[in-house]
Amino acid sequence: MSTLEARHITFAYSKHDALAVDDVSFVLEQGKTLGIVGASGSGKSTLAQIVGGLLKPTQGQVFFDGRDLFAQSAKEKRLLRRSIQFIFQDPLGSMEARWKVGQIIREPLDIYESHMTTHERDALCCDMLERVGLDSQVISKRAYELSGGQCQRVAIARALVLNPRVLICDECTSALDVLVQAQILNLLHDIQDEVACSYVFIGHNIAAVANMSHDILVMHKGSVVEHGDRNSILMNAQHAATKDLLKAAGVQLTETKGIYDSIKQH
Amino acid sequence: MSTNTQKTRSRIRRGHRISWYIAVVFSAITVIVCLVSLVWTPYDPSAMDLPMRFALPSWSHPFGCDQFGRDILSRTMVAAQPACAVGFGAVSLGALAGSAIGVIATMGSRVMRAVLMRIIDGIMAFPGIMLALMLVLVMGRGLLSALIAVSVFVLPTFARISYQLSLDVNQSLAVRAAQSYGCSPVRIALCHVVPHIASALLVQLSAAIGTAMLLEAALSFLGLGIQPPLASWGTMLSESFTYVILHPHIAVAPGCALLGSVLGFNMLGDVISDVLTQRGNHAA
Repeated sequence: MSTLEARHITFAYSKHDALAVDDVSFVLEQGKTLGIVGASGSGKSTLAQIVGGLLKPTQGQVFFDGRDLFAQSAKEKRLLRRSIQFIFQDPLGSMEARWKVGQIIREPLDIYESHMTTHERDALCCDMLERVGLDSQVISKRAYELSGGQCQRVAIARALVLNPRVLICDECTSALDVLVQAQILNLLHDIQDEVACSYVFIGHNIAAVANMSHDILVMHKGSVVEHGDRNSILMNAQHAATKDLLKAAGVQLTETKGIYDSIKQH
Repeated sequence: MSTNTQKTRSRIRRGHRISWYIAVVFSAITVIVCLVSLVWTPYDPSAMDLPMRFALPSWSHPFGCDQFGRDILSRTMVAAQPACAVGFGAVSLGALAGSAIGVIATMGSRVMRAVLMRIIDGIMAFPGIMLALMLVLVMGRGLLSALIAVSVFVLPTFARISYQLSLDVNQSLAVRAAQSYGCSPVRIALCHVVPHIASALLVQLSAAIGTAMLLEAALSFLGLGIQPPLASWGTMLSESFTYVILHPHIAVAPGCALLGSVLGFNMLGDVISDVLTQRGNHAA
């Protein structure tokens, strides 16, 4: 059953600009991961923002559970968007650096779960922190006191606190070193196994994306140049852009896979 | 590090410390004098004592007496009240309204943004004093008119600053993230935008208090603000204008009080800016 479906998405930032996203379609099924890969400026993040409901496409439709995301009223759209959460590239930048971790994770609950008591919300925040591998004492620390990896875990906890059905990971490991990158990928794998949520996993490193994805969509200058299951893309790349990405990631593919496997064994 | 550089830095630090002292002392004196004058003044500020006309400063009248024999110290103290009322009241009102307009403009559609900011540009196109004069002439003389005129005078500055700062904050990833987990525009404005722009507005607020006090004095000087026999530094300066050649001492106290207050609050803006920058650097 499809959870998220994009149909002929086209987007330009202004009338005079070239198309940032040009006629992109895909289907994401429940519990599966769609990897979107491409060089910088290929339109991956713009596409992510469109399917996440943050940007309205110039043309095309986004369906979540069969409902057109952009045909809903503002209130209904907000309720639908509760099920689609983002994890961004710059973890510290994506949160208020001076806020305490508890406040950061609790904010989505303050918006959607106003009937819950403060104590219940705090308890849920602690659960989330433990789920992403952080000590619950971190709750009273300020975001700027955390390391990059810890910050990204907090961002994941914030995204998970509303039990989303789709997580859009927009280059969520790009700013992290290879070891932390592998830990985060491992964590995301575990979460998917636990709650069967779907991921849209975006990156320019095809190695990291391949580790996560069932299907891969390769973007080049706003268009989809290849789309298929992971193995067919990795083993039988057709387009020059895909070949370039594979070539660039050649070394990293082995490194990341090695580290990822060793962490998973532990 | 060379000795010369160290000396220069230490001189700059000393300079900063002096301006901090001046700012804090002068603005604190203004506020304290205003509060004290509410409950106590050496003499009744409106009581005339004709034998004491133009009396020079003495132990009984430290700043002397004016053309009606009224104690200048008492009148200078009481005149701090309209200055502070306009300084704090009008600026707070103008800052609140201006900042709200600036923040709301960034939340709205392009049309709403354009309309609001063109209105602000329109108000800004008038020279400040001309705008204040026009408003006072329309609304009538008095403290309330001066207060509203000064509010309208400071409003566009705050609207412009908050608009620009809010635009920058709205572009940040933190705000995009907040939108992604469903924050409403109002919540984004209150929880994510306002805390970021508050420090810059606070600096502007302090500087605007000095400017507002000066404007109130200017309106009163021209006879459009506080009306005699009520005391205002502007009114006192205006009244002393006729006698300033023969009796210059009657202009000294209100002039110095105005100078000290404006200087103090203007420099307080710089001090707050320094403190916030240092705190920001420390946090970074």
